[in-house]
Amino acid sequence: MARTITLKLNGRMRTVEVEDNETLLEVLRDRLGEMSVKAACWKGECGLCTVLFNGRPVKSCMVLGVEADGGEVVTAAGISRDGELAPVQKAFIEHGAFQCGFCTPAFVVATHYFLQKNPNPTREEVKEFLSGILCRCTGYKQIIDAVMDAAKYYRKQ
Amino acid sequence: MSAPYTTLPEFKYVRPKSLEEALKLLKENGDAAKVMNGGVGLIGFMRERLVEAQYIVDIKGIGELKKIEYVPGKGLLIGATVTGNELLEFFEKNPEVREKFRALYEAASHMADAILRNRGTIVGNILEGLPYVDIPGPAVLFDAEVHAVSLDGERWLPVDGLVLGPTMTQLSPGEIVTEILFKEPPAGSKSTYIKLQSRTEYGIVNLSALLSNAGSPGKRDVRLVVTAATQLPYRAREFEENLKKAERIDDVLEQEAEKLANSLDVIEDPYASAEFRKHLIKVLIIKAFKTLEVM
Ligand SMILES: Cc1cc2nc3c(=O)[nH]c(=O)nc-3n(C[C@H](O)[C@H](O)[C@H](O)COP(=O)(O)OP(=O)(O)OC[C@H]3O[C@@H](n4cnc5c(N)ncnc54)[C@H](O)[C@@H]3O)c2cc1C
Ligand code: FES
Ligand code: FES
Repeated sequence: MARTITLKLNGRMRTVEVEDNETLLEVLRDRLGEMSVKAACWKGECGLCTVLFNGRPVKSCMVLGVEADGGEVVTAAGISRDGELAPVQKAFIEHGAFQCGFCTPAFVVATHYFLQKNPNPTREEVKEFLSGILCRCTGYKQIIDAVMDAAKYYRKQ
Repeated sequence: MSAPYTTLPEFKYVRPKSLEEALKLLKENGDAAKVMNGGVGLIGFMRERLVEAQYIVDIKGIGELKKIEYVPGKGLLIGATVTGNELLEFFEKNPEVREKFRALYEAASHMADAILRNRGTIVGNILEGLPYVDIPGPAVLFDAEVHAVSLDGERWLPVDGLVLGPTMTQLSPGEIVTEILFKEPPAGSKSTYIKLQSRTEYGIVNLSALLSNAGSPGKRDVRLVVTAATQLPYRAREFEENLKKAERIDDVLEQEAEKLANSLDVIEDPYASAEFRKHLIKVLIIKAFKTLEVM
């Protein structure tokens, strides 16, 4: 069944027609053109489709689009402010925390959330939190270094 | 084993605001309607065409299902839509309750990953019916019961025996689980959860164990549940009785662990052979009770 839903996406109200059986991942990419959200495994494993949904990170391939009606979604494209990158994005650049970059939007949006909640994490806590997002290039070291380094900016905020 | 589809089959989505409304929808549509909780299991099953539904009844809009309450002497009541992370946040704020239900806390910390735990619920994890999920072990350990409600009545069902197989349970199509009660463990008891993983989030052998009054044979309580290695949660009653009776636990632990491991019908799959699983069951039981004895 098709229906019209309204959601706040990266701070802007958007109205869009969706089918009941479309996932949030399909709605974001195919209907709203939000290409920073990546699609890969379609089974909740890789975490590349991660977005913030009503304030918490979720894997959007495991959420229905209709559930977002009246809700709020933030993607990696929505965490920078007035054209300035979020601290975690800067740290990813400084540490070279990507190679192909396919996993980067998921990692930055998830860690942006994580560091706001826990600005004093241990390396173990970062690893544990990120265990649901896969990177096939870096071996994770640079990613974890970037998150640990970015934490200082979140402590100041 | 990868998903052959990216899209989901067609269905109509409904999000009732009250339990009454949800129960009516289930009654009217029988088997054609499926309850969706966090959806982590259900969306996956539908994508792989293992579950079909004309109606998806999302129960997340029903406010009364979102509660966590500890009632001293009775136990821990967890509403149907409480997610893994919401339970962990409750335990963080209530460390005394966490220690009483330590095995549940440890299992919930290992349920899927930190992102999926924002959606996956404690109740949904059990009802999904997969052998290797984490919550059924501690649920059976704490004699948990689910409250099943339908338009025709209500009943409490023990988690031990509730699940029949993947997505198959003793529930009838018109029933919704509204909450689960993890029963108060014996005073002074300690419990623990061991999950042994092999390259995936899932365990190949999961153990839930509880011990109280280790030093006094007459008063001692011993509980053990094996999951992941067997198709269904296995509460090791005979093992429990033999350990309770023993003069000293250490006298019989190794022998009883081996006896139990050899008697179980365990899973054989690409992640671990049956023989390896049996070996792990034995050594992990010994480890679990040695840990509990000194806790
Ligand atoms: C990549 C991946 C890795 C995972 N790793 C792990 C892991 O390591 N450990 C682990 O334990 N789990 C793991 N899981 C499973 C996940 O934790 C469960 O799928 C989740 O907890 C299920 O809960 P849910 O609320 O999403 O249930 P849903 O998917 O909404 O429902 C599951 C089933 O229960 C029924 N149901 C749910 N609630 C009710 C109710 N109140 N009344 C009646 N019927 C109901 C539904 O109809 C459905 O059949 C993993 C899943 C994925 C995708
Ligand atoms: S595409 Fe959603 S987790 Fe992989
Ligand atoms: S940088 Fe290529 S997958 Fe992570």
